[in-house]
Amino acid sequence: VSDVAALQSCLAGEHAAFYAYGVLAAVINDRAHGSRADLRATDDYVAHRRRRDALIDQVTALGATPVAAQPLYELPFPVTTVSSAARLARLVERRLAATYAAAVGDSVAAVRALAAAGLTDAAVAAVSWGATPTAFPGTTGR
Amino acid sequence: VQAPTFPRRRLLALAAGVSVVSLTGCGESSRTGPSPTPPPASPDVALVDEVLLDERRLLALVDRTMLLRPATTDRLRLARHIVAAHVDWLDGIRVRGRRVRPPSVDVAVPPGRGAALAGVADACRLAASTRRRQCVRAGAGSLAQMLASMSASHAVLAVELAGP
Repeated sequence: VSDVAALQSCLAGEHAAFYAYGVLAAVINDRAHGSRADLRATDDYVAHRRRRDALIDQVTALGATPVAAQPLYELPFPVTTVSSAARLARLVERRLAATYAAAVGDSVAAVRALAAAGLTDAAVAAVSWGATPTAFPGTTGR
Repeated sequence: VQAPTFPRRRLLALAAGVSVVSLTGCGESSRTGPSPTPPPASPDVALVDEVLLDERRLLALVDRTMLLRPATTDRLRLARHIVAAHVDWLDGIRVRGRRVRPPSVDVAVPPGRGAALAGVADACRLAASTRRRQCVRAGAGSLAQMLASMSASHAVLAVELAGP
């Protein structure tokens, strides 16, 4: 797997994460406006948008066409409460951690460093949404 | 903490092209006896040694902090479990007979629960950045993946221990 393929896979993950955060942040904002969860969701939404845009730039710089977002993503369960929104955030971050971990294994040098940073961010975010810390985030529960 | 389902002992053997040997013999073959000049370590094997030593140091620091500052035990229990899982995994993929000697840790644990926890949090933060650099150095993608994962778990611990 090339660096470009590893980046594309991370980008596809970030597209999905950005969509999911759009949904969950809206639910939390509606149900718990101004709460810590609300601020957290907004911060993470912005962070994922920034990371997605950075990945698009990276892929483009390597001469490839960045993968596009899907028009719609199927949510794994209804997101109607703060609790279910937090559950979705945990799920998204766990899956992103697995995606970035795989990208670390499939890349070298600067792209590997970028993927490792993404893995750390996803692991920290998952715990901030209530996930239990694990010894090997991204390598289990994919 | 669930250890990953990974081809543990095979990992470095496949990556570095060396054969898997038993750890119980500490490098000595029953037929050949001790080897006077061990073969040069592949970069990944040397890297695993380096990481293992570092994780053992961190584990020793956590243990010492829990021993000298019992009030930190509740907060450090998870950290201990996670770092011990790292050590166990690294022990499992050691492919040469020579064991990495457990370090003798002579660190000062600051007085007071908060300062002691902050000391471990700092050590986790340092381990996170060190593991990140080591992951870029690793030759095998599978080893790099696990080092990046360890880096992420240390970063999580640093955040958790730094909190109230």
